[in-house]
Amino acid sequence: MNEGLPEIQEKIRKAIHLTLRAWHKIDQPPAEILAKLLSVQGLLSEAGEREPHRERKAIHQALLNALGELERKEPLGAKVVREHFINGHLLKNIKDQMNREEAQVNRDQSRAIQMLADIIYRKEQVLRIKAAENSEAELPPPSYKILIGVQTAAATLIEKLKEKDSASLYFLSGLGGIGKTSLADNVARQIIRTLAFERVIWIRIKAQPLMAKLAAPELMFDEIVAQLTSKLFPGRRPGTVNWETVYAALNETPHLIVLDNLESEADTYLIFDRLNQLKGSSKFLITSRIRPNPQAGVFTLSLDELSPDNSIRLIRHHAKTINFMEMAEAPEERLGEITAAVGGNPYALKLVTGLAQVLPLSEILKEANVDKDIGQVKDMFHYIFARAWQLLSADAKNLLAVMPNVADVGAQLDQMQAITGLDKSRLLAAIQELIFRSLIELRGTAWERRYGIHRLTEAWVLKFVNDWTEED
Amino acid sequence: MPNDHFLRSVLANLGYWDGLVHPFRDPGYAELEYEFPNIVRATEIGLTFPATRAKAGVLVTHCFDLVELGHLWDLWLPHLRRAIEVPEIELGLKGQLINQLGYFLMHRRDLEAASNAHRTAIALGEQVRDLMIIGDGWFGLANIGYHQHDYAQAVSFGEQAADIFLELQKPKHLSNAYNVLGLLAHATGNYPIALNYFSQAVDLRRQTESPLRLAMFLQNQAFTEQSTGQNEAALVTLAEAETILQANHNPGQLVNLRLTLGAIHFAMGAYATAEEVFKKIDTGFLRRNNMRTWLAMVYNNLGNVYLKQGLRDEAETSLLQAAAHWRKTAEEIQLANTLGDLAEAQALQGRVKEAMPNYDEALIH
Repeated sequence: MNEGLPEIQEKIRKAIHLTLRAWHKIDQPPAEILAKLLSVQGLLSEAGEREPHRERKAIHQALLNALGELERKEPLGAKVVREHFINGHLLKNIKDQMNREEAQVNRDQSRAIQMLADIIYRKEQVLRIKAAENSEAELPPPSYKILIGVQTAAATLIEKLKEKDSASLYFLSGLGGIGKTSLADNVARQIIRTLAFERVIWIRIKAQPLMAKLAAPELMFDEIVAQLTSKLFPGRRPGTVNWETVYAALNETPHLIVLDNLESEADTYLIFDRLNQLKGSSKFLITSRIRPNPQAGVFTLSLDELSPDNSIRLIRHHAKTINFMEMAEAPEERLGEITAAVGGNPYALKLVTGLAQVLPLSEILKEANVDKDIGQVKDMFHYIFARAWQLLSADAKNLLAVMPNVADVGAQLDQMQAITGLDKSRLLAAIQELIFRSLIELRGTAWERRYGIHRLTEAWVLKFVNDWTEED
Repeated sequence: MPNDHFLRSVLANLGYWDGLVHPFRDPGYAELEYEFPNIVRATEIGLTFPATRAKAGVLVTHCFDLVELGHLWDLWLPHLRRAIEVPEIELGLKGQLINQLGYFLMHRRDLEAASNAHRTAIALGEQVRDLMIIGDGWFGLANIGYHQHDYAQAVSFGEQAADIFLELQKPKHLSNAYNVLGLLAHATGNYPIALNYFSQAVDLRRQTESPLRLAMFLQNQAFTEQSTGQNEAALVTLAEAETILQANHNPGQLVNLRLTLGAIHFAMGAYATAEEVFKKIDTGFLRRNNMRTWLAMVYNNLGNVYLKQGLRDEAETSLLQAAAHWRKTAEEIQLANTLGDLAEAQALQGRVKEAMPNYDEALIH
């Protein structure tokens, strides 16, 4: 349902009145707005198939439930509604039976219908909050506390995604570390609350194989299908559901699928090829370093660096998070020196803020000050990672160096202990240190915590810490 | 080549996952399935460097049960193929990997390629004089023969496999061979021989920690028992399988089992029990997974039970639901059967006019 709750309240009241008037007319189609209510959907899923007579039955049941509640609050009004619409008695007979004026009975009835609408509306609100919470619980934990400088981009994306006949594919492109995943996460969380989609599913695309020559877009796509299968058909094994079945399910019911971290050009073309035929109301939001060529049916949003003002806000916020109050409260001109040198890449700003806790800012900025074309942004990250590496404890270095062994789903403590050889207390301290320096990320859930690393960090660690390049 | 610290971590990672997947235990497999991306990552990195490839190859062979039970072969095949190609893996291990490739190709119904893989593995097994590889190769060919309905040759392959596993005293492998020989005997109508094989397969499986396969073999045994009119014995066998599946949370296999179980009670005239069994089937699970054929079977069976019990209203409702599901599948014969039953339910209520179109449609399908 795309409408916000206040707007639908009046429509619910009208639909209730119409449904009550047609209570005994079996050829009357069920009111669409009531059929879409979560309370009705719940009754329908218990009953099984979604045929019109079942929808009608479920709507009646939901109204009877609300009427039961009304009987406790407003017995007179409830009695009028029940006698008139459900038991089929004429109002003039009801008036006599209740010993009331006809005008009074009319008022009782219309007040009772309004109250029924309120009861159903309140129940809907509770159910919507619960549904949104359940849906949000399925997303990976956000890697940010607040989002800075991308509210307009988020609002644009949300509006476009909610439009019924808009594109099926949405590309969110930008350099590594620019905040694509954070923005997609924020959009997903906001859109869940609108209930514009039946379900929001997050899929993190597996990293490219270590050797680029082994990369196979088909394999990447199989992975996506396997992950979608496990979410859409929880009891089915990945090999038993093909793309056509997944595709049919997506065409039938509106889903928002977030594909996070599409890396190569070949992968992008394949995604275009496979998903472009989507005909239903499901949509894909894809984060990618590649900006696709403009074409019909695809909406592209390029994410640029943060403005100087927003960069400063981000530095202050991150400094507070890591309890670096000197930086959090520094004068704007001083922080402006950082943004002038580093630019507005959020990941780079966080790393530099962490570094500045232990190194003189002037020294960091001297070497980080580069022109920000793509090649030199890489150099800047190299410099920042290299300085951060020098400052790490031996255990944190050990842990960061072995993190490329971990898949995107993240590792649990047992696996990390096995590959580092560290005992639990030293491992936890190393994790803490790396989180503090923004060098490892939280994955999994609060109940099953996992840890992973950003792809930029992984590429740097493999090359400069583990001395491995593909030419080897 | 990366530095020693990283290589040591790669080896430690391979060892960590190997310790969890081998020896394989059914009960823990759901958790391991969640870790599959980490296992793939370990394999991928392990197969990249010469110093870690041999150990990665061992992990690949040990992942067989996880991949097979989880139906993960589409995702696994590229890594398995790569493991077969790397030079550091010794021939014996390579033979095992090629047999595994054959099994997975068979699951994908690429039977010709699967057969070629097993024949390559057998030749390699003969070259390195490794009986297990040869036995696994024959076993793979027996399975392929079963799917190709080439029963006579499949029996000969299965018997050769069983002889080798018996000689090497490999109970898990032997039970698999007996199971396929049981299926082959059942397919050719040799029920006593089938029962003998299934009971041996079940006995051997009881000695291993693999309840899901034990339940599968028990179901095969019950199916043959039912086919020979031993309904009581089939019920006892299925009750054991049901207990196992409930304890190991396998909803798909449990639905399959309950459909068989209910059908046996129905055939025995125990309609109330049949109703109880069909009602225990988790239709929510089937609905969530869009498994229409099974949903239709559940409602069709329930409808028939109600008809026998004289509950015509309930029968009509159930059969209507079954027909709605069959219409969304390509199962026209099944739809016709259900429509015939539906027409009967309506006619019994004196609604002959309503029943006629259903009778007519049943005849068309």
